[in-house]
Amino acid sequence: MELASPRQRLRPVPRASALRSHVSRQRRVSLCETLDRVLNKGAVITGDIVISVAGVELVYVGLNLVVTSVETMRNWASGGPLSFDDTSRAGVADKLAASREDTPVRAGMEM
Amino acid sequence: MPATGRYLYGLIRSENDRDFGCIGLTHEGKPGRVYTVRVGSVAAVVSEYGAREKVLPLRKNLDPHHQVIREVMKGATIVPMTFGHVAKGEDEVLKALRRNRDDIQTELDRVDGKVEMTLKVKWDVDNIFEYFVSTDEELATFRDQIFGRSQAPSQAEKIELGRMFEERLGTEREEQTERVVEAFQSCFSEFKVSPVKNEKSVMDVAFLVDRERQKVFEERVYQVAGTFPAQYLFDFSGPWAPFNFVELDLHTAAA
Repeated sequence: MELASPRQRLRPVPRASALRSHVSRQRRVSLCETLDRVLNKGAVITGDIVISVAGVELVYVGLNLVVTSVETMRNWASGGPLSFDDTSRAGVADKLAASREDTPVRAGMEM
Repeated sequence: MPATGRYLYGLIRSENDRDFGCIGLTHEGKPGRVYTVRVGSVAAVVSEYGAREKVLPLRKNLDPHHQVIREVMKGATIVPMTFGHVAKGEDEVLKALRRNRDDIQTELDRVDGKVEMTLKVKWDVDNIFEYFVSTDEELATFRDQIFGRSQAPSQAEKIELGRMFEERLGTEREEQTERVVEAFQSCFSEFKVSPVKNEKSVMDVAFLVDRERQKVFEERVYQVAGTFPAQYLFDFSGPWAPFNFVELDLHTAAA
């Protein structure tokens, strides 16, 4: 973070278009917001007899990683560096971590 | 013959069997038919899925999971399942429903007729540090003091300034969150504050709101936003299924 010199200190100047706090309602909800819910929240079933929770382990590495994973895996699926047969958790996590991007991904999900 | 499993989307209350059409996760090359598996008035929303098939968190799987929840939500209150649950078969779903019936009932009662609305508030400023310094005299004085001299500030001084800044940020978040939740008091039955994900975030709060009071809630957002200075950006989304309010952990093994 860059520190401005004391002389440059600014008073908050309200922008002409926003004298009052504004509200934005995004019709297109970000993929992140949907993923956060779908992957991290909701009811779960535990117990190894009946139900298997497959693939979800990835989410514990962090939401950013999953956002990347979805994009990355799509690339991998078309003959990329990783085949689906070798999606062992550690392997995927390592590869995803290395390929992590901070670019926000937006989905075209209409609310 | 390979066993056909059931993918689970969520739980609803229903006196009848329901069919939501072919909008589920892809099974054997086509979108699965989504229907209910029911025990009395408690039903699981499912579609056929390979029992041994992996459910990877890919867009092609995540989209239908969420779409089904939204479709079901139109006419019922759904307790959404977390992505990725596959039962070995319909019998196993029935077993899970029977075994957890009371817990499911309780959870369905709690969220009955309600939706989740999310409110995110951000500081809409270019430089969050600059904004705080401009509004906080103590922070400004200390900053001027260590940067106004001829020699550069020491590492310890910089750390101290950073610590002060972090502390202000935290205090401000808490105070504003309290203020907002207070202002919405009449609009929700429960609320949940999630940790903020970046520096400029002030709060991330989910509210459990009566379906009929959704409009009232939305109007309230504009009213409350109007009482805040221009640097605060309010962003709300919804209605969502009550993802943030579900605390259901179903057990499959006999206790």
